[in-house]
This record gives sequence, structure tokens and C-alpha cells, in this order.
Amino acid sequence: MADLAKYTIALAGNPNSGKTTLFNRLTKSNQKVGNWPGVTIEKKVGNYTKTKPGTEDKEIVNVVDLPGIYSLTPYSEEEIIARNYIVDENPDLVINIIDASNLERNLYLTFQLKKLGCPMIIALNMMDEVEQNGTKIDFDKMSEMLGVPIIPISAIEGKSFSAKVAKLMGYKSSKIAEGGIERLIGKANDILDHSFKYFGDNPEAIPASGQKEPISSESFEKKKFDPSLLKHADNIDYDEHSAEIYSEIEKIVSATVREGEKQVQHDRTKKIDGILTNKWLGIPIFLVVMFVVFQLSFTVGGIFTDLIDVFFNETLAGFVEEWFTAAGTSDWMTDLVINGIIAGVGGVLTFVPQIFILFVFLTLMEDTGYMSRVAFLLDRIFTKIGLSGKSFIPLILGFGCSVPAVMAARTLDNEMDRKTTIFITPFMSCGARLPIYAMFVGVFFSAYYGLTMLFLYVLGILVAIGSAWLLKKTIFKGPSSPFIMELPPYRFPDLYTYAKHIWEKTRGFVIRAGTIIFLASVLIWFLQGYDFSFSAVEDSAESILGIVGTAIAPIFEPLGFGDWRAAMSLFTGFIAKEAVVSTIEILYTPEDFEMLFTPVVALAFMVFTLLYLPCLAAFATIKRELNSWKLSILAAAYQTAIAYIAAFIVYRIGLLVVESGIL
Amino acid sequence: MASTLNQIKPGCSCKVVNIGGNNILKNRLLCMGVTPGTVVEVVKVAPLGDPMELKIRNYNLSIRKKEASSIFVEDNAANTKNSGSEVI
Repeated sequence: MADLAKYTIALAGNPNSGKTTLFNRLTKSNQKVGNWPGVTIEKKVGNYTKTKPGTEDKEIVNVVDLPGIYSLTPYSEEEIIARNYIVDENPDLVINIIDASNLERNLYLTFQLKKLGCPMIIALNMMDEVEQNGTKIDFDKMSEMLGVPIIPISAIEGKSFSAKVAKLMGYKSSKIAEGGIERLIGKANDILDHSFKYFGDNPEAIPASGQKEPISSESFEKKKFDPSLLKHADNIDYDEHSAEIYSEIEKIVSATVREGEKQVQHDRTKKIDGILTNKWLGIPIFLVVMFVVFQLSFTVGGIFTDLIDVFFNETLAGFVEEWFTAAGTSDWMTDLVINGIIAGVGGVLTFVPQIFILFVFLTLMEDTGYMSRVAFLLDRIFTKIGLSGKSFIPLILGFGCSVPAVMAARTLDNEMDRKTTIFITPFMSCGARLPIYAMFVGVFFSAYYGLTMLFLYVLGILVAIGSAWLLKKTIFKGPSSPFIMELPPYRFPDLYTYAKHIWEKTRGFVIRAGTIIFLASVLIWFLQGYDFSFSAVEDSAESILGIVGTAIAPIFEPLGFGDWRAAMSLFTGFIAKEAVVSTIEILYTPEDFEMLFTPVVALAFMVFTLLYLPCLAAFATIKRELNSWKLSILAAAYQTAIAYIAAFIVYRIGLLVVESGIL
Repeated sequence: MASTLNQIKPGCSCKVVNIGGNNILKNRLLCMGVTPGTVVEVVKVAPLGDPMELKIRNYNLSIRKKEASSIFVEDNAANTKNSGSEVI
């Protein structure tokens, strides 16, 4: 793909500058936009086809979405990723996206990018907000003072956007680069060639100052950084130029910007924060919001869940049975399709509406800017257990899926905080565990949907907090890192990106149902229908699954679910959490299910599935992020041990409560 | 009168004089625009007593009181408008 592309363009900018929205609009690819600082960790590449000016020729432009960063100082992985990308990959053009309503801080990165000597243009974003306030910006003058072409845009508005994008891609009307993008690139390449002369391709070969080869400050800035620098971040001298850069910026801003009368966005944000981070209301509102979100996802989602359930288990299963009987298909095949595949895959798909609704709300909280307020509200609690409040980013994402959540821990600049956060993130109940609760709660606690859910989620949070405290006291001891977090203005999310984001996550869940769950269903169907000599069995207790399950089931006896089917569902839950549901659907008849599980056992079982080792995909991610088999296995063992203890306690207390006749 | 930022009451503004603390903290704060001479408004303190919300250079920033105690300020700028761009 890269070889076909004529140009490579890198998008660089601060978090919340609208960079991701612009990337989406340009490449139509799926990319998350959020108000969480540092949400775009992975390098995202897309491409865009433009018509060569004056011809019919199409040219492919590669677009790389760099992580959202505030500076190029090597203090976090994102900053190093962005910096090294620009230095190593030499993009033809860097588009620096700037939030025009937050000029001073955004321009800081611009100054640092400029020092890297890469060809660059500025996309001045959020111009709609600036205009709304009556603020006037003299683009030409600013462009001249910065020495960088500027194009005003507003990535969120739909109208005239594509025209502006075309302008971005084929820049030609600027005083600075009259020959169009080609000339701009050509000119910048000259600068690059020039700076490379000093140290060739090997940045390590930069001669130390004082030696014979003179180094201008510009070429010196071009050096890239080794990620291992992070470990010794405290030894790096602080950038004494920061203050100078800011006074430069102040000069430019005061010469080119005339502040308007109004402060529409600031006033709006202030008003909203007056309620949402209010001294008395803030935390209760957060709890109510979470409760309502979960309650809604179960009541509204539940309506659709029933419809899907009827479709799979009655309509589709009935149709297939009729069809197979008519076609004379063998019994085992009919059984495989109806009791294996349809029951298993259908059992998981019935929960898609609930997961969809949960993502609708979590994504909204993220994209509007409320998530960072939640971190602001709850940071104190996290300080107490020795974690940075920023750990809340991955932890909250963990409610969606542990895989991106564990990856999001990269935003933490403190190594010990990062490891601790990775250890505890799986305790945050992920979306794939929802179907398990939904199934049990639906049968045993239907009158207390929201409350039971809240209990499970809060329990996960409490266990995570306790574990963090323990880990920070023992294996991950270390100094705490500073907490410096932007509280971005509340904004309506870009609907296009928002919808794509939700769709992407839900689709991921559906695809898993079609692949992993499908295979697991077939496998379970086989293992529960056949014995070790591969002959069909009448009673599934005599099957391979039955024999293995019976052997390990006693381990779970103290927790109340020493039944081989429950044990096996936990085993398949390691492949994917939602497979617990499909396994139960395949192995249990509804009568058996209600006979073997009591409300107390069901609660203990849910607690166990909440806390025990994460799914295979999450485990693989943890292994990759911790970069240690020892630590990853320790994490999985720790989680399972905690699950066992917690389920045991819940079961015993539950029994006592029932026996005492309180309930 | 010199003091540190954590002592400033919500609703009051002050001017940054100097930043202490380790290099990580110093660099982070400087990058975010907390440079000497900048006017900072303390907007509020979180319900649990920490962190604080600041307004600086026309945007909102949250830092803990521990970090704020490394920022030395002049608190006689209470009447100054909180816009960084006016400070040279």
C-alpha cells in the first residue's frame, strides 16, 4: 500500500484538537475520537485519493494519525512515538491540527514540530467556535510570523469540509508556498537534506557540542529518542526553552488575535461543570449516571434481547429442523446445527442490544469530555491507593473491553503505575461479561436488574482498588508521578465518528460470535456428545466434557457450583467470556439450570466470572504490554485466586442470609 | 506576597513566579503553559478535596495540591483578568 502512495502525510496535534475527526473525514477509516488525553496510542494509517491539480490523474495519499500529544519532550511513549515517526519516516508533510479556541498551548507543539525541520502546514481547527465568540484571527500575519502556511477549518462541521480538505491536500494559494504542495515538499526536503548532512542517517552519531562540526539548534532538536530514556526521565534536563517559546507565542497571539466579546464554549463548560463537578452533586450524579446507563442497557436492551432470542431459538431453529428433516439430514448434523451452533452463537448474539446500548453511553461520556471529569472527581481515591488518577482512563475503558483498556495504560508515564493498572484493569467488568450476568440476573434476580448489576460493577471496582493498594505496597513499589490533566471543554461529539466508534465495537462483538464463539460452540457440542473413543453418548455426563468436568468440578464445590457443566463453562470462558453463556446454553436444559443454581449460587458464580482470569485475547495483550511471561502468569493466577476467595465469601454469606431467613 | 499555588482560594487568581520540584514535574508544567509570569485562576477544588481545577491560557487544567505546592506564585494578582495572552 505504501509503495503505491504518492505522498505520506502525518497528522500531529494536541489531544482534543479534533485530529482524529479530521483523520476520519479524510480517510473514512474507523478511528476513535475522545476527549481523553492520549486515546490514540496506536499508529493509525489510512489513505485518501486526490486528483492531481489540472489533470484527471488520481494520486493516493497515505495519512498517518500520530498520537495526540502536548509536546515532543520525551516524557511519554506517545511523545516518543510521534517524534521518532517524524524523524525516521520522513513524512512528505506534517499537518499540525490546532484548536483555534486554545491557541497558546496548541502552538507550543507547533514550535517544537518546527524545530524538527519537517515540511508542515497548520490546520486551524474549531474555527466555528472562534467565530461564534466574535474573535478575529489574522491568518496571513500569523502564518508569516510562524513561517508555516495556515488553513482555517472546522473538522466537525460537514459543509464545505471536503473543499477545505482538497485545499489542505493540494495547497496552492498561500503566499508562502505558491507552487502548490509539490513545491512545499520540495522546499522542505531541501531543509531536511541540509539538516541530515550533520549526522547522516545515524542520530547517535551526533557530535557532542564543542566538537569541530557546528550544530545549529535546529538540527540538534532533530535527534530521536530511545524509549529506554523513559526509565530515567527524571535525569533529563527540563527544557529551559519552554518559557521562551511561550513568550514567543504570546507575542504572535497578541499581534494576530482580537478576542471577541463572547466566550460561548467556556461559559457553557463552566455552567455544566457547576453541576457535574459540584462539591455536593458531583459524585452522586456520577453514581446515578452509571446506574441509569446500566439500567437502561438492560431494560431497553432486554426488549430486543427477547426478540432475538425468539428469532434464534424458535423461528430459526424451527425452520432449520423442518428443512433438515425434509432434506433427510442425519440426526447428528441437525443436533450440531440446532443445539450446538444456533444455541451457542444465538445465545451470545441475544446480548448484542445490551452491549450496543452500553457502548452508546460509554462512548458518549468519553467523546463529550465527561470522562475526564470523572477522573477529576475520583482522583483522590486513587491517590490514596498510590495510583495516578490517570489510571482511571484504562480502568473506565475496561468496562468496554480489557484489550484496548490494557493498551491504554501506555498513557501512564510512571512504570509502576502502568504495571499496577494493567494488573487490575481486568477486574473492571468488560462488555463480554455482561451476557453472563444478564443470563443469571434474568433468571434469578429479575426484580433487581440494576441493583445486581451495580453490585457486580462496584465489587469489581473495589477489588481493583484493593489490589492496586496491595500491589503498590509490594511488587510495584515506587514514587508516584505528577498528575497533570486537561479538562477539555464539553463538546458535542462528531456524530460520524461517534457512530462509527459504536458500530466498530459492536461489530467486533458480533464478529467474535461468528468466529471464536462459533468454533467454541462446535467444539463444546462435540466434547459433550462424544466420549474418549469418539462414539456418541446418551448422557452428556459420560462425554469427554463430562468426564473432565467431573474431575475438576470438586474444586468449585466450596463455591456452590461444583457441577461439571458450570466448571466447563468457566473453562470455555477463558477462550472468550461470552462463551460461558453459550456453553451453559448448550449443556443445560432450562430445568436443570434452575434446579442446580439457586440465587446464592448464581451470585457466587457471577462474582467468580467477574474476577477470574481474563479471556485469551486480554491475556495475550497483558503479556505483550508487560513484556514478561512471569508477570502475566502471576497476574492471571492472582485474579483467579481473588475470584475464588470472593466467590467463596459471597456464597457463605449468602447461605447465612438465606438460613437466617432475612430474605 | 509570595506563596504556593495550593494555598490560593478557589475563585482567586495569581501570577506564577517560579516552579520547583523535580524535572519531570517542571517540564510537564512548562509544556502545558505554566510558565513564570502566567496568570492562573483557581477555579475549584474537587469534591473530595483534591485535585484542583485551574484556568490558564484560556483552558482548564487539573493538578493535585501536591503538584501545586511546587508552583510559587504572587497572590496579589487577584484582580487581574485570567488570560495568559495579556502577560508578557
